[in-house]
Amino acid sequence: MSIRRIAADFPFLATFDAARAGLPGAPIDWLQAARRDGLVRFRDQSLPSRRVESWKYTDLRDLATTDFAAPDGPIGAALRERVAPIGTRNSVRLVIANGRIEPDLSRLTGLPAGVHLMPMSVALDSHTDLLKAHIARVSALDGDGLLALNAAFMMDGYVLVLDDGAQVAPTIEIVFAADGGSGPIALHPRNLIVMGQGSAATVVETHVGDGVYWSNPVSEIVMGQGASLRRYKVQQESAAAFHLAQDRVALASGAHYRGFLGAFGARLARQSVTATINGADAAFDVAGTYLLRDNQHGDITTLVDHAAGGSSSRQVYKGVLDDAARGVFQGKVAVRRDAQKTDAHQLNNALLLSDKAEIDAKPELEIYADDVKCSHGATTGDLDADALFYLQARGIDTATARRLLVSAFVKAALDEIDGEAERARFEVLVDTWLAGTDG
Amino acid sequence: MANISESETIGAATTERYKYGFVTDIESDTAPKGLDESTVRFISAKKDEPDWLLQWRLKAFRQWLDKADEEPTWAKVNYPKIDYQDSYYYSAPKQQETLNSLDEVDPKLLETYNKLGIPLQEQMMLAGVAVDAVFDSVSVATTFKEELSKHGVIFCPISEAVQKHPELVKKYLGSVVPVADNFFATLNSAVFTDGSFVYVPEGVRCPMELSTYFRINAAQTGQFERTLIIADKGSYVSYLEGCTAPMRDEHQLHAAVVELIALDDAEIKYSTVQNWYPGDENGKGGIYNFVTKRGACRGRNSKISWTQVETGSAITWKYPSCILQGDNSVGEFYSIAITNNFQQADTGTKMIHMGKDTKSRIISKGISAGHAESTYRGLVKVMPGATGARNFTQCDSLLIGEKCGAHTVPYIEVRNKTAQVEHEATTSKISDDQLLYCRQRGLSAEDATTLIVNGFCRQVLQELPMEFAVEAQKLVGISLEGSVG
Repeated sequence: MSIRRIAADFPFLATFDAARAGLPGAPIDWLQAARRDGLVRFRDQSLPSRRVESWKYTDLRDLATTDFAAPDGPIGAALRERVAPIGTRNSVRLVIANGRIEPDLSRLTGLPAGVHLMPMSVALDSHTDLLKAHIARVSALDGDGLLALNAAFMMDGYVLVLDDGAQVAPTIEIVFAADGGSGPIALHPRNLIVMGQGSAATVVETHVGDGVYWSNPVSEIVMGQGASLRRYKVQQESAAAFHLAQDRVALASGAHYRGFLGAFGARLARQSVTATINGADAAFDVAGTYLLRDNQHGDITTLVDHAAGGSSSRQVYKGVLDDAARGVFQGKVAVRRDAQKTDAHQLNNALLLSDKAEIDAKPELEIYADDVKCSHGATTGDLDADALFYLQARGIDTATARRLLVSAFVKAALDEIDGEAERARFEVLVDTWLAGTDG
Repeated sequence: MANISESETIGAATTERYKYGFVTDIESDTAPKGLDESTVRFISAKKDEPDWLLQWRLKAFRQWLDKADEEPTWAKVNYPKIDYQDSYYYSAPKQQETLNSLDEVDPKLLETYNKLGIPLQEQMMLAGVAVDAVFDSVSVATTFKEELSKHGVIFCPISEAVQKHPELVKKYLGSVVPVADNFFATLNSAVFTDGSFVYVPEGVRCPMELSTYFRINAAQTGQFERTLIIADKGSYVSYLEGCTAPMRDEHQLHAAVVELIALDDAEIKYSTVQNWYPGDENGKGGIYNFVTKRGACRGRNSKISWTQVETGSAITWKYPSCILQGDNSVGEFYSIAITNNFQQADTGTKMIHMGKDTKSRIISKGISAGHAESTYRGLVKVMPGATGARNFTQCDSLLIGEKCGAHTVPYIEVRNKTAQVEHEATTSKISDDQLLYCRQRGLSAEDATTLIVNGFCRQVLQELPMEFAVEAQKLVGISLEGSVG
């Protein structure tokens, strides 16, 4: 057993043969082969240990020793009630509960022509060839055991396909709900967004749940020439949950990806994003905020690979860590040999509110082209003493002054959001979190 | 605009030959090739070492054997696997009787120094520099000893310190870089041959800059210097280290260990200019420079400042670090790393904040040209007890030409909320505007580039002592010749 792996033998692994019949695409031979292949790869790779450089700061041993079973049945009534009102303002909604679409809570009608939204289980029938190509593509990626496990146990996620030129005005609301109330369960949603030339869409993903569970979503996003995607993610997993998400994004020339992550939940969370920019004038802009307390561990790991010149990327993350929470930010920008005229910027600011909180940051640049503008910045610290004094001198008590400053710090990240309604939504979430902190 | 100058010169092969590439033929007293326990015993016996040191070496050697598969691979450097049995571990210039003056030194050695331009005699007096010149592995000439001894400063080869000041060596050797620290440090602990020892007593401000020139001479001899500098309470010392090496086709391994200890209110300034043979323009030959340098700010208000100008070596693997234990202690790291042709440099620092109100500052300037790869790799770690810790880090990289690479890998680990840690890094090329401005005023593309690069490095160059600053500025130009536009 290599020191680079953590041995893991989850109960759900043993149910592989039985479980496959109930998972999407059971009658499809190539998919079954892909699942078996994924399991073989997981058996080989297992979970990465901290000796693997990109897992240096995130320890999966607690995950490895939890007895996760396959999900069995729908989510409980209480959770269902919480899910029901999420994003109802938006007309298009897809709810996935315990790895399956929840038709009663979903509303997939009213989409314009050329826009196709469905759960994975449906897409495997209606868009078989497309899914086959993309599933094979993801399987061929240089990935870790988590990606392999997702390939083996792939469950319902959302599939969004936009034809060339298709534009969808209303925000597409996706909700993932997980209920580990009756024992730990493992969920492996697979999402796919394929965007034709010049298409545009806005997606909001919300992740909520109860009890102990492990969500291991993999999202593949392929953007055609000039496509534009706004993708917002609210991570509000239960306080006992593990959330290990990975996004693989590919951008053609002129494509514009705008992402925002609000990470509030989970006992251990990691959002990993790998973006490959394959064409000129493409832009990859991501931002986010991680607000953690108690013993929460939150990890944001990004890799932006400028494979083509004349493209840009921008990353802005702001984290606030209270109690014994630990934040991890690993951001890497790579510029390949001929990717001249690349403009890449990255920033991570962290605020520690407690003596026991910890931040580990590793902003990384790997540059092989000379005519580029690349920069990164990382800061950590307490609130600015001068600013605090300024407010206090104007009669504002310390606790209020601190809260104001923390709020201002976080909201600078929200300014990266392009869209009034979405900004307002994150603002409410941030305010709720801040109300629970004593500054 | 800049395109004109680029097309003129980019691609033109390096023409500046390595100035210091000559070999002095003197009779070496060499240990048989290869490394086993008997090699370690041979070195120890040659040095007439006490038993405790032999045991220390043997313990290190056994640990190194256990580490056989732990040769670091995390650095962004590529080289063929080193055969540690295919190298000599001891090579000393012919043993002399005790030297009373320079006249007794082998004239061939003196000739070498003259070629290198080391100001050993009158020039040295003028320069006010005491030189403990290490020729290969044994220090053969130590000067200004009287002046130093008046102040109680001990400056001698470490092999001499082992004999004359065993209590100091025993107390501090391996206390900053433990024997088991890393693969190369463990190897060094087993087979180190010589190096410098400095002890500055309480309250003494060392009256001159201390300087040592290291040279690697005999072919295929790895050099394993061991340097130990102790600044007692309230003392100050500035130490300069400069390196040149002759041209060789075979890669040569250099695995030194440098340990600095600063007690209460003491300050150590350690400056390095490293211009060892970098290999030729096709990447053949050159030194492997795998060095462990670390300083411990043990006392309150102590300060350790590292300044390095790295222009040589085929591969540089070096992270001069500071452990800030004492309250209010300060660590600094100023670095210029210039890589050209097929050179690879993976260098940076670690600042470990343990004491209250500790401060650190990191300024790193990396310049890559040709097919070279330059990486800044650093760690800023603030421990829970380091209340009020402060760090500022700035890492800038400059790329010259489109075949090179520049990378930045900083690690920031903060476990105290009152710590203020700032890191910023940029990567860019020489701005067309700056180049145009210089060209308009009649400077050649090459001169303009040298000027701009020197400006880019200014923050670091100004930290160097005068003697080094001049040499370093010249080196910047020489290192980039033939590769710039």
